[in-house]
Amino acid sequence: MKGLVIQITIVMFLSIGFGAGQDLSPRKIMEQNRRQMTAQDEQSEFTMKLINKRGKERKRLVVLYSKTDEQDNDKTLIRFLSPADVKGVGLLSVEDGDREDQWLYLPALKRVRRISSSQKTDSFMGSDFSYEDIEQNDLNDYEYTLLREEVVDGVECFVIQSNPAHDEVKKETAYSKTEVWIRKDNYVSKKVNFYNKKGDLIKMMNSSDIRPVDGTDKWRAYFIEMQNVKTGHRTQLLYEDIHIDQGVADKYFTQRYLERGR
Amino acid sequence: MAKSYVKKIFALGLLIFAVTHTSAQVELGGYFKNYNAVHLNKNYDYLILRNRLRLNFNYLPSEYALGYASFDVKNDHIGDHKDLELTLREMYIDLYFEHYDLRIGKQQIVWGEADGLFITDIVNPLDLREFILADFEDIRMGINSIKAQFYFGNSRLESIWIPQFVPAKFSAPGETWAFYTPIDEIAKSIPDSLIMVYNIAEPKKRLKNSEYGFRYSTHFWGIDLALSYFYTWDDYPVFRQYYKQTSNPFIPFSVTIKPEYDRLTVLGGTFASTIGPLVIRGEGALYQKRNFYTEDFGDNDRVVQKDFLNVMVGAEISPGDAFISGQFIQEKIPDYDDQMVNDEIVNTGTLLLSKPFLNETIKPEIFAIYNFTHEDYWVRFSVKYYPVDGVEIILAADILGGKKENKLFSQFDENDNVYLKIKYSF
Repeated sequence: MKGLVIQITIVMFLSIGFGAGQDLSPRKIMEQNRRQMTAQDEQSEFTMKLINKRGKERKRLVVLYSKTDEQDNDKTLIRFLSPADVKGVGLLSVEDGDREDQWLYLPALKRVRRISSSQKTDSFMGSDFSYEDIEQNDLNDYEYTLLREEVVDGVECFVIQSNPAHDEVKKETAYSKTEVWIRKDNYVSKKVNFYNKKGDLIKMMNSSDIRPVDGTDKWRAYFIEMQNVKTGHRTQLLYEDIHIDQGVADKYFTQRYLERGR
Repeated sequence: MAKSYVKKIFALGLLIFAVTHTSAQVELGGYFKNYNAVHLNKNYDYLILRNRLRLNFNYLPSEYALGYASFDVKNDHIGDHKDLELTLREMYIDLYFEHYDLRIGKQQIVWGEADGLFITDIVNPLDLREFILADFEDIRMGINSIKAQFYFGNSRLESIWIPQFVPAKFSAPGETWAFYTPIDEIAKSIPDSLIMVYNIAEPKKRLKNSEYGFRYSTHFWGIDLALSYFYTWDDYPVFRQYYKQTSNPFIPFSVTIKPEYDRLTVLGGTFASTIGPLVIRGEGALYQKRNFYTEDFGDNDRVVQKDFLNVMVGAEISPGDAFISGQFIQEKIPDYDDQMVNDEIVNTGTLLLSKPFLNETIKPEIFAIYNFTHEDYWVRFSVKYYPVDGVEIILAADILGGKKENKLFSQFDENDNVYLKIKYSF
């Protein structure tokens, strides 16, 4: 699974670099987005709120380290800081070419376990995000269409539709299409709608509090909400701290560090 | 006895107060757990009514060191161990250097790849007073030791030294979870008055009686590999039996039983890898000169020492959000002779199925272990519910049984139970 989790700040935001002209084709916009979002390393701390349809909340405080090496291999460490019953649980993912190794550390068992890469359609940590919502897709796997231009929350947006480009992707994905609202002023995505294979709307994602990350020219959404239309369950990500290209040390991406549990 | 525990708990309270009010670098965590179980075979009599408080302290003076202590206060209101039990589970310091780490103190050392089995994972003695039904973190007992881990590339070399042997804990004869022993077998044919049982002899507290081991682990091409060597004492006593002829023609023998612990050398290896969506795991150990019982009347103490192989292969897969895991275990005595009490080959399988629902707030699970040779089993059905953060509620049933009597699981045939655990973590 290419690029697990670092793309929690990539595809979800689909932020497009400044200077992308309005006459660019949807495909060109996506390419520019990918180039703009490429970071050598990233460190973030966020609260994940899981909210059921009755409004009952569960919260997880998560820290995430990610890094891309010179061979374009991604490494990611996710660590739960709270609540108490999952504190110290860590997931380490290391890419090596086409292969991805993943290990899970469970403090109660004091043991690191190799695990298999999750399927694209699996839920990400019990949330309303699936792994395909947060991973970096190959741009060639989708076809893009500019549907219209629309104002959302007072901001002008492009509305781009993505469809799987070939059968293999159609088989792997849970979606027949997605619609993305991209702001015209800074080319950051404002909203995404996800449709299942029957063509029904199943999930909606909205982002806000979009601002530049300190010390860089990158923009990120500091608040993201994904809602499951059928169940009414929602997942909110509230970013407290994002650091980009500040030099995340290699030591974080080792079993040695994973086992420390902090 | 009660006074002593009051003092200990008072001291623990003072410690908590002191560390939480004097240093911002100390983190206090843990849980409170209420555990109630009833027999399914004995008119729903209570089996367990228990409260447990676990307190874990982390002291973080710098990024190069950590101090950790874990205390357990357990109170049973029914059953075989009703006394208030205060246990220091672990207490150690970690020191982190550039290429190696040290952990010094009472600690748990976990080796192996198998789930729910102890093949190479034998460094810590086990608390088997409730068989293997307790949580794994409670079964494995901390042990005073020094662990040094040296790192180079993708590899690590772990060396451990345990100055003093600590045996496994068992229920006393007659208790709910007491194991069937050779003494029980002998008592079938010889009256108690002609059986003399010595106290268990433990190794003397000497340097030469310490335990040590090494484990080299690495990963390459998507494969995790480990090799281990452990020079230890067998955590389980052997009951040496010395028979003597009597003058009574109806009861021709008296017997003297001497339980002892013996040295053991264990060589082990493990691997784990993925093939597509499958995770494959394996683990094997050669126990050199392990004690086994024999029915050979010519044998002086009815105990023979033989090499023993214990091997496991397993696979797991996660279709959707479900989890399916299976393991096959084979135990073998290569140099077997027909007069041995144990079977030459024993085959066992395990199966684990689970699937979370409602954004992982409810998780039904089935775990089953079946011994194909002895035809006995243990099945646990459970439903875990997470109503709010930090709270876990488990409703479960343990079913044990088998066709043959007094085998590992079938000996607890009468102990089928259903339980409710409520745990609040903080």
